[in-house]
Amino acid sequence: MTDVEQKDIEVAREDQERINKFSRLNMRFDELDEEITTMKSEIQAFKDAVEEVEGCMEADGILMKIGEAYTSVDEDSVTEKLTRLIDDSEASLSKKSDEIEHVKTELDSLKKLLYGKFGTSINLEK
Amino acid sequence: MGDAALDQLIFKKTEGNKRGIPEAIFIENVEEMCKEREPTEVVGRLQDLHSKYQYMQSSLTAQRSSLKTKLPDIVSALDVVQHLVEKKEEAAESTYTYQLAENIWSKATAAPSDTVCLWLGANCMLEYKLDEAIELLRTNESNARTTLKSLEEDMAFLRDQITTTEVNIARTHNFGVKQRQAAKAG
Repeated sequence: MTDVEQKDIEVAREDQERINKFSRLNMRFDELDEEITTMKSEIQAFKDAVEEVEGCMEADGILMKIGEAYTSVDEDSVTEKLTRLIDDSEASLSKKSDEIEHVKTELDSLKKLLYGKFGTSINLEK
Repeated sequence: MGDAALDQLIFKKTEGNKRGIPEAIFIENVEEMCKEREPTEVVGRLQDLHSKYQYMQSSLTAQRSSLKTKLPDIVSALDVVQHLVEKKEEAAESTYTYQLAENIWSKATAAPSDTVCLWLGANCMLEYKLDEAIELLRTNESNARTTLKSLEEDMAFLRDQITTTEVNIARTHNFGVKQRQAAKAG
């Protein structure tokens, strides 16, 4: 950052606000990114479970986890429950994907603005 | 030149902020700021402030992660009670495979029931009617979500203060470097 002063670019209050916003959005981006990754693997696990249930030939139903214990449940209601879980997760996943896209666009436009003013004196990469 | 005067220039108390996070003041003019004092002194105070902010940040992060582990517990408890409600409607006995001890699982049969015992913490367990249990758990869930939301807002506010302070440090430090170079040249 030494270059900033050498080239004598003063940081104005509005620049500070932009930098703050950038930093906030960056934090949000990382959070969303992590949440999306976990959700994707969750959905995959549910989908795998649906397949397993289909392939399972157990006559007395399937042991499903309820809290800390397992109880046997018939195949149809397991599939039904899993489908509901998948739908819920996919809905909130698409909401999060929309938000991360939005955050990304904002980050990019802030980046352009800040690099435009400070050039190499500022580093906005991770 | 007391530290208190300098402190007033770099942060101020914020109103309406529950956690009492002080607001970092953006230094409008570094030169002005360093007229009566050495840049190194200002940088030092700013760094103190910065480490305080970081301490707050780690405490907030810890609070948030404990809430984030608590929430799934509440949701899973709700699931169990919902399951009991279904069983009650069916009026059927069900068999459960449960963990008796590490590596030992056993089977138990439970008759449909009107009530459920909820673990309240602090070695305390209370019996509730099923619908009351659901209500209590729902309240707990929504409280946890509200707390999480306000925690996240505070964390975003704190993040702003940290960024502002970091930029203040860099600017003041650079000013100091420039001043020393000028003194050397002159």
